[in-house]
Amino acid sequence: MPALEYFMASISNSVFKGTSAFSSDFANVISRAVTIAGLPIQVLTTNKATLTTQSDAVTKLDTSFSLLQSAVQSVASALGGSAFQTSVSSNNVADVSVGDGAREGYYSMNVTSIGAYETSMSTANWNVAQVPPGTPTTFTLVVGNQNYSVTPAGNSAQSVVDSINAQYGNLVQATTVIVAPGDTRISLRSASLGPATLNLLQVPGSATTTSLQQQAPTGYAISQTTASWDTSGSPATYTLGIGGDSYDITPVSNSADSVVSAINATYGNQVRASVVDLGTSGSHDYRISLQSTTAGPMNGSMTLDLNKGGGASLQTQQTAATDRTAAAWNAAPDDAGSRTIYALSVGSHTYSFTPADNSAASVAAAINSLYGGQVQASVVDLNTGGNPDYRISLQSRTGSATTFDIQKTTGSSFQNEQTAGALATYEINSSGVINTSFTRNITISDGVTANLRGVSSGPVDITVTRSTSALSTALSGLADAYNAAVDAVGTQRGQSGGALAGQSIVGQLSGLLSRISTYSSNGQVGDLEGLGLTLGNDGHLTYNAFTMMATDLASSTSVTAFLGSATGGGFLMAATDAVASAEDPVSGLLKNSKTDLQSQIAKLVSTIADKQTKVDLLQIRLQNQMAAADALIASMEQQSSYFSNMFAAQDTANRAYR
Amino acid sequence: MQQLPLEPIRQAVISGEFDRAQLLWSQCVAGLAGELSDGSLNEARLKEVRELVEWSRVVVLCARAHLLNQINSLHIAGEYELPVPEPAHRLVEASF
Repeated sequence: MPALEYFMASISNSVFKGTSAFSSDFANVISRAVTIAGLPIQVLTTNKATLTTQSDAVTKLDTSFSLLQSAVQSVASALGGSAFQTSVSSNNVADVSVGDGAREGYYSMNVTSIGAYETSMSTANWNVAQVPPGTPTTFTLVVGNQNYSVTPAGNSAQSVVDSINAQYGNLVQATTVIVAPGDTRISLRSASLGPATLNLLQVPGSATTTSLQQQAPTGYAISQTTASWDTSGSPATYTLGIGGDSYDITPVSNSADSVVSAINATYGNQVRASVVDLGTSGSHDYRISLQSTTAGPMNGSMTLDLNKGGGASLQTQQTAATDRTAAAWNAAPDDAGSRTIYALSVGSHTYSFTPADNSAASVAAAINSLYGGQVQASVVDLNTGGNPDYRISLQSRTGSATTFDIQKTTGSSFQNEQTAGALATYEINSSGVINTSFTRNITISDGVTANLRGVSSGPVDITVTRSTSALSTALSGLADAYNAAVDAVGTQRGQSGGALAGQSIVGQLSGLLSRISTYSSNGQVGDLEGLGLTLGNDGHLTYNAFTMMATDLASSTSVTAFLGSATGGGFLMAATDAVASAEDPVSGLLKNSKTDLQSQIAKLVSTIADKQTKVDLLQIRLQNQMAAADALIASMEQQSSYFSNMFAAQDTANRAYR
Repeated sequence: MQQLPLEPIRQAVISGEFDRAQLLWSQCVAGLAGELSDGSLNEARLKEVRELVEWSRVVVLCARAHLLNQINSLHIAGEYELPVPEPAHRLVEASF
């Protein structure tokens, strides 16, 4: 910042120096005029000095409150994850770690399985030739049902492994393994627990592709039970609607299986019924699916309906299937060393996938799992008494008319399953609920994570406790920071107060501090005194660590409840909000005040500079004017002197000749 | 012929609990020694155990290779703090 004098109205050192007898008068006139013109600058400069002093005072307060804010945050941190200690009754079962959000507590965990990662290994020494030589080979990596394309720089085991890890390292880990001298294999390991197909395939360029489906533009009618199948009541008569005709059927019971059997036995040449389970293995949700055996309207309509005893319709009509397998599905397993790869065509897009096996059910399940947003695959058995005749029907899920197809080809398979994957299973707090997990990192509760290491022979106790010393240190720091803030505010109060004396901000800051030190709640720990923080008559907090430790030992949960968190209530939220109302970068009292003062000072500096410029110009103008006047007077003085001398000489001569 | 913990060994190896697998192998060896001493050890049992030994050897070999890879990755990451690139997934566009 420039020196204060700089802003004072000033006369330049090149003071006016005339040659006339009045030059000193002219200089005085200029000096006086400049001094008068500079009077407002002096006032502005004084104002600026006052504002600068206030700004310095606000900066000091800001520093104190900023430290108080950090102290409040330290208390919150002392309640965070790093302040917690854990103990596990059996270290061979799990390692427990804590993070933010953790709370003290006791948990029990019964680990019945830590799960297993699916692995596969090459069936023989890795030796895949490039065909033609020098041409990169594209492999198909199968993870689950999904196919991924891998084109390594070379065909060596290490190149293939590097390429897989670089592109799909989040799904599968690949490595080379020397099983025996001269026998290097590729080992694939799933990145998550649970069963999943892991394979490496190669489709030769000469491989033939077979289209399995047949388009049916008029569509196969499909309907499905709207709600879970109701088996209640005595055996009822159901009415089956096939297009425009209705037929009564009387199954042996109301079970979905019985109704399906009755429909297929009598009307199987027109419609095929099947039971589908939309639920889970633990909670079944059986529905009956009806599909027409022939494409197009049946008896003038595309409706397949079913009702019980003449009641309301049980079925919801679905989008007609526009594509069905042309011939009986071939589910023959692949020969050793080869694998069937399927492709689903949806319009102009083709997607490659590899189901768990070649059955129609597995292929349909893979399609629904991977591409269920676009297409719905269902298996229908067109058999009417002989061998099964499974077909896959494809329905659009998007509502738009498009063509579908399923194609298959055969590729070379290089991997065999080595170990089957399995999910981790465990039970928490003897709840009776067996949980499964794709990972061994189990979140027991907020901020508490167990890393499974082994199965347990029974429930394992996990104890999470908070460190008292960390909290004690943080509370001591809070007292120091609070007292420093109180002192900083105190210097601005009273008759001998600082630059901010009498301003409302001082009272507001005092109020904020008061809100912190007098906070109370209805819990077992009701105020700061319960934590060893006593508010004295001088407004300072005194911290007694023994009181705090005694309270924490007696009821740490009460201490935690009183303190709360910065956003979840309690003392910490009150203190955080109070300090934030002073320190918030946008709306904080101190931040706003500081910004306002800086803005005012900047404006004053600008105004002073403008005015100084005007004074300087005035001075220059006066100097020029006075110089002109002085020059004129000097000239006249010379002329006057000349004539005086001439007259004097003439007078002398006259006297001499008289 | 007493029951040997062959299936528990297999399960322990599959799930990567090698400490437990080693413990079970010790029990298994003791059982085999008992069968040998009382003359009940037969060729079928030896074949069964030999297959499990070979299977375990290869599985553990693979597990060791994967763990070494992970350790190497961690070492490299710690040494150079390489950013982990987002894996570039590319679904297969079938063209057969």
